Amino acid sequence: MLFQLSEPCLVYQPYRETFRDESEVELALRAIRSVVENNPGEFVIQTYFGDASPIFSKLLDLPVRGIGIDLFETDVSSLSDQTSKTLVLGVVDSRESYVEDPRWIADTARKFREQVDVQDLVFASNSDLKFVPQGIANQKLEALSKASELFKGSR
Amino acid sequence: MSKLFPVQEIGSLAKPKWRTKGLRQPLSAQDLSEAEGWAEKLGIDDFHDRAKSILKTSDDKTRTKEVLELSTMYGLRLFETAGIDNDGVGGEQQRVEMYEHVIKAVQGMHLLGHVHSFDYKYFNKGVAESKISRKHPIYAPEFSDIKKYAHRAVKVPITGPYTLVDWSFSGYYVQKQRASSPKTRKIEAKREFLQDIVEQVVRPEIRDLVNAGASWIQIDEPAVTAHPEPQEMELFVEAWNETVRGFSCKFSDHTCYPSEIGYKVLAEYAPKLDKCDQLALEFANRDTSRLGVDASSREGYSDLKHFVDAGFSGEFGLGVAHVHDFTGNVSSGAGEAVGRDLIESPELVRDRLLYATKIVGNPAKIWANPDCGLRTRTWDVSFAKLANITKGAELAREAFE
Repeated sequence: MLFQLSEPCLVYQPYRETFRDESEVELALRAIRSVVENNPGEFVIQTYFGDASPIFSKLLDLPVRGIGIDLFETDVSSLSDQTSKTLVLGVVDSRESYVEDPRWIADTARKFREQVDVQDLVFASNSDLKFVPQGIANQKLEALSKASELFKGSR
Repeated sequence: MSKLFPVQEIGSLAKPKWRTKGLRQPLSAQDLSEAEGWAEKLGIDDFHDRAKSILKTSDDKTRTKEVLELSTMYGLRLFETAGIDNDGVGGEQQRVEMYEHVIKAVQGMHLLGHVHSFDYKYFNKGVAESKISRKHPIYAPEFSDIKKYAHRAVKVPITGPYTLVDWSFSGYYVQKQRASSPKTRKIEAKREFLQDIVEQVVRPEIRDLVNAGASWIQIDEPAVTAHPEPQEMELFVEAWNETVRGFSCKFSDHTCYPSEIGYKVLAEYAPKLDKCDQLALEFANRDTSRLGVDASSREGYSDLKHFVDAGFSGEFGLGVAHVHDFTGNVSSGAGEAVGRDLIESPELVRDRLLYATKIVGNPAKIWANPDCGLRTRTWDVSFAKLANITKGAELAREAFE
């Protein structure tokens, strides 16, 4: 069984007077570890609404199958790492109706791979698609699917 | 206005069934029975003539116009009968709601369909598909009826530019951006979209309203506190200052209470808002329902201090009546819980005004109002609340005589 732990607050905390400090991040990561360790299921930690780059390396150290990041908040050029995990790229924007070009999505994934040494990439929306009307959500999913084909074809 | 604690409304009132149905289909005499019941209470002397005309017409356009005009007059009379000093636009009877009403009048925008807002709420969200402009005046027809029927001062609430943009998809404005970072493209798109909403839609609208005689415009910006990041707050301030530039009328801001962060962030930026004569804010929804002018009894008003500390020198439109469903206990003398409603007593309203005066320092800077528009309450409840705000303001005034 694969579980997604949705963790926007790891990267998005505008309502806080003081942004999370190191000890709070460690506490949050310990909480995630306590959930996933000794659990027969597999886990993906999905972050969104905020920039994952400050804690990206720490996320990669978690004993989980995959990490998801929002590429409309996280600048690809700010990342640099290597991982055997699955990375879920939030590469269509679920808070904007403009449907991304599959070529742009594939290009963004290529740029991502220039920064991060990873084999297993999954293309996804950056957060829930409930923020766009159904018709737009369908078009965005089709764009992801086409982009995935383009990306595979270019490898 | 020289008297202390003048009373104002904030915007909406519930739309009576006959108003909503009358915009879709012909009405029967039965449909108008609710209006007939209120006619005497509100002193609508020509109700029967107007009802006859509405029932007689077979033309949809004429019926719509007459129904809107009559419901606007009812709204004004309800406020007036309750003793309100500034009667606004009669409860926004001529608007579908605050977002769609404007977007439908914007060339280049298209309503895409319903999307999730919060909890079980959905709204019809628009997208900018090309450079935007105003198709036709948005609030002017309403204001024309207001001028005809208002007996007291009026203020015109309008939806603010930041909220209009924040609640829309930027579409065209995103696509034209060339920055390599998607995040930068989104921010630049929002800035450009906002500039166009201000220049092409909101300023022309204010110009028309001012030319038609409006002397006070309330800019509703509920979205602003949903994005307390400095970059977004600066965008809001820039848009506000450009919106009001050069106009000589009173401006006020109405922003609901952001439950996650409180008013502290808004307070920090409020002194930067040009010509912002008043902030109309929500406090009663989180206050206790017991009498007293001590800090603990009036805990819902603690954020007022942030505005004073930050140096905001304008007036406060103080929310002294709850506008949501109420659950909880009401102490003796503080009011009455009726079903899902709290009818605040005049004494509770008085204590809220007097406590706010202690924080603000100058009673002449305080207006009394409900926390927000009253559209979720019945007319009976709205009337009872407003009448008690009026009486409570009178009691507070007596403390200074």
